[in-house]
Amino acid sequence: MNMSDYRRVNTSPERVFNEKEARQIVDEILSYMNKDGHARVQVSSWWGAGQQWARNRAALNADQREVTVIVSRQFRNIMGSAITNQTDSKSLRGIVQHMDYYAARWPNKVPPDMITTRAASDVRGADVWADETYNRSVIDNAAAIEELTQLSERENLVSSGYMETTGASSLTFTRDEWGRAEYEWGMVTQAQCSATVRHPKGVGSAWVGNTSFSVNRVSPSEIALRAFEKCKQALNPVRLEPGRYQAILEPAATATMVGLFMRMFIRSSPEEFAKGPMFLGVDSSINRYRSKLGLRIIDERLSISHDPAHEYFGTHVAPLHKKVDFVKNGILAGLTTHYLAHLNETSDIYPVFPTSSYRVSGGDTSIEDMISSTKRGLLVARLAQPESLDDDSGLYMGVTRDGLWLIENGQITRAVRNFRWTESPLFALNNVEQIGVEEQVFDPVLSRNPFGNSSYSLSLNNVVVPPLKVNDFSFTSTIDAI
Amino acid sequence: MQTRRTLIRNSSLAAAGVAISHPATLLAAPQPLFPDGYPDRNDIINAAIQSALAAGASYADARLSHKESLAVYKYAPGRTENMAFGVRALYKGYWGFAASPIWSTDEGARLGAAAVDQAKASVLGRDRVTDLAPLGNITNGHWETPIKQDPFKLDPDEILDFNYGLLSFIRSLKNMGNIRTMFFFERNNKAFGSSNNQFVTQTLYSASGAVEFDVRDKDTQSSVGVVVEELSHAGEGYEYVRERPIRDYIRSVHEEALEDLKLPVKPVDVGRFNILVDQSGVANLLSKSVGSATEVDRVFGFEANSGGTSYINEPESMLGTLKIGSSLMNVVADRSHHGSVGRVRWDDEGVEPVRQNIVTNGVLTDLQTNREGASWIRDYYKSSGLEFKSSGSTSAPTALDVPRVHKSDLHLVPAADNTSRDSLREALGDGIEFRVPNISMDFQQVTGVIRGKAYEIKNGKRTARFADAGVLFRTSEIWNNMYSIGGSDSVRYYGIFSTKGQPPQNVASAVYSPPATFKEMTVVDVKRKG
Repeated sequence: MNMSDYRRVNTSPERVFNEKEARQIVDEILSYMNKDGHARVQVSSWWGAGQQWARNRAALNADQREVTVIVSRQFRNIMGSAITNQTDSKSLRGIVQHMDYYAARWPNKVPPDMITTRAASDVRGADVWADETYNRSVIDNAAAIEELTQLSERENLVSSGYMETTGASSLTFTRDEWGRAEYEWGMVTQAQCSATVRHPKGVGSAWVGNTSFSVNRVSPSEIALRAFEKCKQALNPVRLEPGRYQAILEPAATATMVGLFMRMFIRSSPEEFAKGPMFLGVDSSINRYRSKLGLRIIDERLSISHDPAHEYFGTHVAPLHKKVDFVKNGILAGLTTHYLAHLNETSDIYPVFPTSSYRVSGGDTSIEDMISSTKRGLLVARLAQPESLDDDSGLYMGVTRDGLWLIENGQITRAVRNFRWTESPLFALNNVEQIGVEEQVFDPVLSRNPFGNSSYSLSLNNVVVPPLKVNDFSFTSTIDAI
Repeated sequence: MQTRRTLIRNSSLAAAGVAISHPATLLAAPQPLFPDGYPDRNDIINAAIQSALAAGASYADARLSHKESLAVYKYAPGRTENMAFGVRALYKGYWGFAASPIWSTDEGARLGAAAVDQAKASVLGRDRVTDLAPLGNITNGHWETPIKQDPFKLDPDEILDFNYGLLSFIRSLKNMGNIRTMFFFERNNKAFGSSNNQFVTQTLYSASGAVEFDVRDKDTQSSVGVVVEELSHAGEGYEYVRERPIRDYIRSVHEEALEDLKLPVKPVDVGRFNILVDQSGVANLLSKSVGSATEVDRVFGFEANSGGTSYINEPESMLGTLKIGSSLMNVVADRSHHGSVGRVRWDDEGVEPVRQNIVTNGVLTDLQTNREGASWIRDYYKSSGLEFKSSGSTSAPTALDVPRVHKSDLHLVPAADNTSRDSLREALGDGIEFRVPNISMDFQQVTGVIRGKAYEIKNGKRTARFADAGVLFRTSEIWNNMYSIGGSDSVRYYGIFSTKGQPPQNVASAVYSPPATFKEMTVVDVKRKG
């Protein structure tokens, strides 16, 4: 039996569905579904070309394609959902049946005020589809990787890394309980490249990476050259006493801190009303937890926003369909939630899932100027493996990785052994000395399908942050790993 | 299947006017995607392999996967189905891979050629030597995880009623706070074929559960979080739910939590203490400090740009000599145990996994390998008299994913006696006990932190709870300081997920572990800043 005779597929040369193909599938699914209640159908397709290298040689080149079809429906208090990656009629009919079959067995189990559809929006965002990314050939990438691994071999260093170009499309149909329906179409591309360069004896390591919707902004050669330079500067690190240091966080390190901070803006379930440092105690007069909206929470020079019209974020890649200021001049200006009850509290809580795409306003101080004005401190390339120690206070623990240098009297004097750190983003962002120029950092989508797996994961992780000089950053113990 | 329970429920739903898409489906379960069995998977795989060989591949393999999952939890039930087809080809030492969701001979031909094209792109002058360890006796056939009941053939009402019943039971317990329950079932029908004239099929089942709740003291407003540690990812069917004494587990941890609430909470004394770590903590420590560190691709730098490297940085000289732990430490990798989440007959390279002695009397004696990785330590195998072959540690979540080396099921060999966790606590005298702790390790598994629920132990008894206690350790230090270990009756099973690779893959493996005590470990207050 050959299944291709009845299956609609995204076969070569088209690697992702166009709008017409996706619409045909969505409409077929709708023909199988009941017309009542909230409904959501999402058909997305994804293509990715990933190239891994290690030990100065190409390790594996991969071409992968995936489809995701998600259906969900809520009627009264009954909700069901089902997911498949097949688009033949039998499969499409099958997931509607699965959705109904299981939904009929979970009555009264939808949280009464859970937001199950997104508000319509007329915001038109930036175009984040780049033909150059979609059309980038594996041969071009392989040549770039060959060049940089040859260079690495000549420099007696060991390079490993990953380059990936992806394209994805998605059509989402949403119908609310009043029968208002809309189709939402979007296409995105993403290029990512990251390289780790290590000394063959393991006495130094450095990492550089970048992501963008356009592959033209992600140069493997440039990334590798920066990693070579950093690795040479990171050789033979010395032990330093743990303690509080003035720390210059390079953009990748800032992004880790701000990423942890962004998690605090989420109210993801009714039970979590009271959790997190963005919330105060119960106001007994209204029997609700008060938030810190309107209060200053971080340095007043910092603002954090999401703007779908900005070229970094785009329309369809953004989970937020409107411009949102999370923090304006240090003051908490917006939170996100899944629950209608939260929305009734204030207009500054948005009916959306938490965003992983955001921009932190920058300053104009270069990292060189930050270093030259530092009497004694540390330059930090990356803050890795963060783990929460206390949800209520937002305290985290992690390690530094791939580059840590001691600064003395305005100059980098030596590479330093990695530290374990224990710090709260709230503390760090309230103790900012200097702010650098913002830039997009490496923060690729982890899912192989930015539209897939969850009906709400419509996000590429586009993060724009500046480097920061932070006072009294807490490094708690040395670690032996390099 | 329609049961009395289904009939009653459907009747009441119909009476309540609940609308569904097709009334006919009210009583009938959805038909399986392949009611008459799969199409000829051998044909589909063969099309891919022949295409790859015709394009010049020296070796090719192809995998099909059909993965179904069912999640049962408080809100919004979820049913997922995923089909994938992945082809891997070796051309002049370079690997290429191509995958899609389409099962057909035409797609096989396309993927086979595409995989070779991917590999050819990297052939730009320099050699890449890729040796594959021999397969030995090539076996064919079909294997299924031995289960008693297929959850996908079961009336879903039974699963739902069980979950509702469990929630009611937990709510009835004293001083209960927030409750979370979840059960997850998966069935993965896989097929593998290669240019070595091998074709095998497997049906793998797994089940997992999560039961977590808070027990609160209404007077003091203090609370203790509880996790039922016996429920982790296992290679079982619905018997995972039906045959396990889950309510007994819950009663036991609930009673422990009530006892905890009676204990005073103290700030931890920083210093060096003997510590007792329970089975869960030792299992996680083993998975991270030994499981990750002995994956051959990690050892040789293939994970340097993602998860990191390994303290085993000179494998040629360290294998057979590196002392990781005390002589009590013996670690075996074995994917053949009944109920293990990692149990397979063949890995994703068609290799039948072998039992390995990873650590013998504290000394590193083997690595977890795939066919290519085994060839990197061929000299060690030759000099030590071990058979030169892959350990069968290759896997991938679906056929869409590139097959990689993932952790095998690990066993920390228990003591020969019947030492229990209680007897270890008594023998500890004074010290600190950690229950279900988190283990954080750095990107080379050299150093780490144990943190979580901690108790002050005086004269072998719990006398207080410590707030925010943790242990800073080096891998070699903690395993060399292990001075006693539980017996076989104290061994517990854990299915633990690990993430690896770019793009990241999440794969579960099993760890069998007894509790253990460690001397003179560095105890810190983990929330104290520098």
